[in-house]
Amino acid sequence: MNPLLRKLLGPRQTQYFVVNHHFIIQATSAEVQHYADTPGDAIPGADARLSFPELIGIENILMSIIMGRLPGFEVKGIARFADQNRPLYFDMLAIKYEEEQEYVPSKLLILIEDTTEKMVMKQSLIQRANEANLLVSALAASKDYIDKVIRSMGDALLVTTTLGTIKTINQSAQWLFGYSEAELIGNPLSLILLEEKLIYQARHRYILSHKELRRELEIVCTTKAGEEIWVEFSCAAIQTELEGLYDFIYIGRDITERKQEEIEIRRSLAREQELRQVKSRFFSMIAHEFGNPLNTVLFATQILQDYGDEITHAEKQQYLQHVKSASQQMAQLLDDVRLLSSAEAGKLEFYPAPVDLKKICSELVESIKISYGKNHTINFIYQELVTPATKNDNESQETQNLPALDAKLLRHILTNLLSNAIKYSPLDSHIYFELNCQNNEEATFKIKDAGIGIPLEDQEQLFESYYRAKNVGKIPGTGLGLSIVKQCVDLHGGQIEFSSDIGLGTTFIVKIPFYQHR
Amino acid sequence: MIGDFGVGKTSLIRRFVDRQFSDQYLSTVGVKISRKSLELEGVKQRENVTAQLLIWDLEGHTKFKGIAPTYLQGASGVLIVADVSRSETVERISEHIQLFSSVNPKGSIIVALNKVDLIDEEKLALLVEISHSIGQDKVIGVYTTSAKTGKDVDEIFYKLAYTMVEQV
Repeated sequence: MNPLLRKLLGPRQTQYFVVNHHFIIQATSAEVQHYADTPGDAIPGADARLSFPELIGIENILMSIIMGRLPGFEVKGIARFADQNRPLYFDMLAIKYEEEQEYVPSKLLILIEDTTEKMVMKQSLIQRANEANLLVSALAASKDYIDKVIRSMGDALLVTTTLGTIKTINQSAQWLFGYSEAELIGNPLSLILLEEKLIYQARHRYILSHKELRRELEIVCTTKAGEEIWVEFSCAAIQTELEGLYDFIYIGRDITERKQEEIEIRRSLAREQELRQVKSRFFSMIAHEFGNPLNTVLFATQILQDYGDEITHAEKQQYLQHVKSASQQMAQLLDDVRLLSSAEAGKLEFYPAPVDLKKICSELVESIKISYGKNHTINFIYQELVTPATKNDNESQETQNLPALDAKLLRHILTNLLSNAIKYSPLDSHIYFELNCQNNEEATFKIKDAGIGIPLEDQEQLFESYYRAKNVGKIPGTGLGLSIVKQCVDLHGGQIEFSSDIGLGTTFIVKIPFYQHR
Repeated sequence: MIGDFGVGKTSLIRRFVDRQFSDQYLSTVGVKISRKSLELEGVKQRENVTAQLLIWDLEGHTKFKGIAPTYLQGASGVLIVADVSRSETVERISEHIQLFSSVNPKGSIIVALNKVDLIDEEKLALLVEISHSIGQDKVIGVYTTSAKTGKDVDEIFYKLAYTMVEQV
C-alpha cells in the first residue's frame, strides 16, 4: 500500500482492501474484517467475493475499472446485521490501483467508509415517513371507500353541525331536495325543512339530557322547486373531536306517496263512518216517524173494523180523518226522503223561470198559517230595493222584469224554514219573515223565530241528513228539512247561514242570486 | 427485490430464508444481502445443481427517492413486489419493470403480488389480470404471495433461481 494513500485514508477511518484481477485479496487495512460478511475470509490470499458478496455479479464492471475503462463503481448503504441491535452500514467504492513499480499489473482498491451513524438516522427518518405514508394511504383508501358507499346510497344523507349547519351531503340528497351541493353545504337544515321544530326538539333533547334520539322522524320538507314532500328521517348523533359537541346524521327517505295513501285511507274511513252514522240516523228516524202514524192508522182501522156498527157516524168520520192525516204524514215523509236522495244523487233538477217573489212568499205564509201556524203570528215584510220598471208595461214586459229562480225549490226552502220556525217556537210567539230584493241581483230571505235555539255543538252538523239537534225533545221531525233546504240553496248557487241562541231563538238568512238570462 | 416501500420485500426474504414472519414494519435502508443455498433438481437435462442465491434486499421506492440503478447492475434476476392492499403499488410495477430492464436487459423478472391474505379473491383475480397485462412478455410469471402465510414464497424464489441457472 502506498504510504501516502495510507496516510490520507487513516484519519478518515476509511478501511480498504486491494484485490488482483482474480479478485484475490492482496492487502487489507487493519479493520476490514469488521465489515466482512464472513470475517475470517477477509484475509490476503482469499477470494474477496467470499467476504464481500456485493462483488458477485459485478465482476465485469470491476474488470473494466482495472483496465481503466471505467473510473470506479460504488455501492452505498451496505448493511451488515451480525447483531440485530447493532447494525453496521458502509459505502463501498472500487477504484483502479496502480503500484509505483512499472510492469506490475494494475489492481483494484476497494474503499470502505463507515456510514452507520448516518444510515441509522436515515432509517429512523424513513421509518417514520413511511409509516406516516402507509397510514395516509390506508386513511385515503378508507375515506374513498366510505365516500363511495355514501355516494351510492339510495337514501339521502345529511350531516349537520351541533347548530344545524349542513356540512356533508350525498348525491341522493341533491336529487331528493333539488339543490346542488354548493347550495346545501354551509346552510341551515331549515332550508329544506318545513317543520323544523321536531328536528330541533330531538337535537336539543339529545344535547341537554343525552336522551336517545328518536330514530325515525316523519317530517314535511320542501324542495328547491317549492314542492312539499314527506321524508322519513333516521337520526343519529356522533361525538366530534370536542367533548360535548355533536354532529347529527340524518338519513332521509321520500315517503310522500305512502303518506298520501294514508291520508286517502283516513279520508275514506271518515267517509265510511259518516255514511254509517247517516244510515243509523235514517233507521232511527224511520222507526220513529213512521211508527206514530202507522200506529194511528192501525188503531183507527181496528176500531172501525171491530166497532164500526157501534160508533156514531161522526166518530167514524173522525177515525177516517185520523187515518187520512197519518197517511198524508207518511206520504210527505216519503216525498222528503225521495227529494233528498235525488238531490244527493245529483238528480234534482234546476228550472229557473221568472217568479213574482212577493206573491209566492205571501201565498206560502198564508198556507203555512193554515197548516201549522194557528197558534203563531207570522210577520211578513217585503222590501224592494230595485228600481221599479215603468208601470205602464204590458204583461209580457212585466214578466221579463221578474227575477228568475226555481219556484219549486224555493218553496221547499221557505216551507221548511218557516215550518221549523213554528215547530220549535213557543205557542203565541212571533215569527219574522223578511224578503229583500237588491238591484235585480239576489234575494235575501230572513226568518227569525223566538224558539228553543240550536246548541253550539250541533251547529256544524245541522245540514247533514237525518241529523237533529240534541235539544229537540219530543218535537217530531225527520232531520231531513234542513238538508233539503241546503241542497236547494246550493242548486241556486246561493248561501245559507244562521245565528242562534239557546232559549232565545234562531235566525236563518238565505241569499239566492237571480238566474241571469243569457 | 424491488418495489415500493412497505410492500413486504424484507418479509418475503425473511420467510424464505429464516422461515419467520413479523407483522411489525421495519423499513429497510440501503441494501442488505441474504444468502440461501438451493438444491435445484432437473436443471438442464436432469442435472441436479446446488445454487447459492444472493438476495439483495433494496430500500423501497418512495415518492422522494427512487431505486438506485447501481444496485441492479449485477443482478441476474429480479423479484418485483407489490402490495395488493395498496393498488398504487401494483400500478407502479410497470415503472419497476422499465427501470430493471433498462439497467439489466437480460435479467429475469418475476412479479409477486404480496399480502394476498388481506384481500378477497375477486379483487385479487382482477389485480392478477392487471399485473399480467402490465408485465406482458418481459415477466416470467405473476405470483400471488403472502409472507404471513407463506403462500407461494418458496415458489417465486425457486422459479427465479431455476430461470437464472438455466440462462448460465
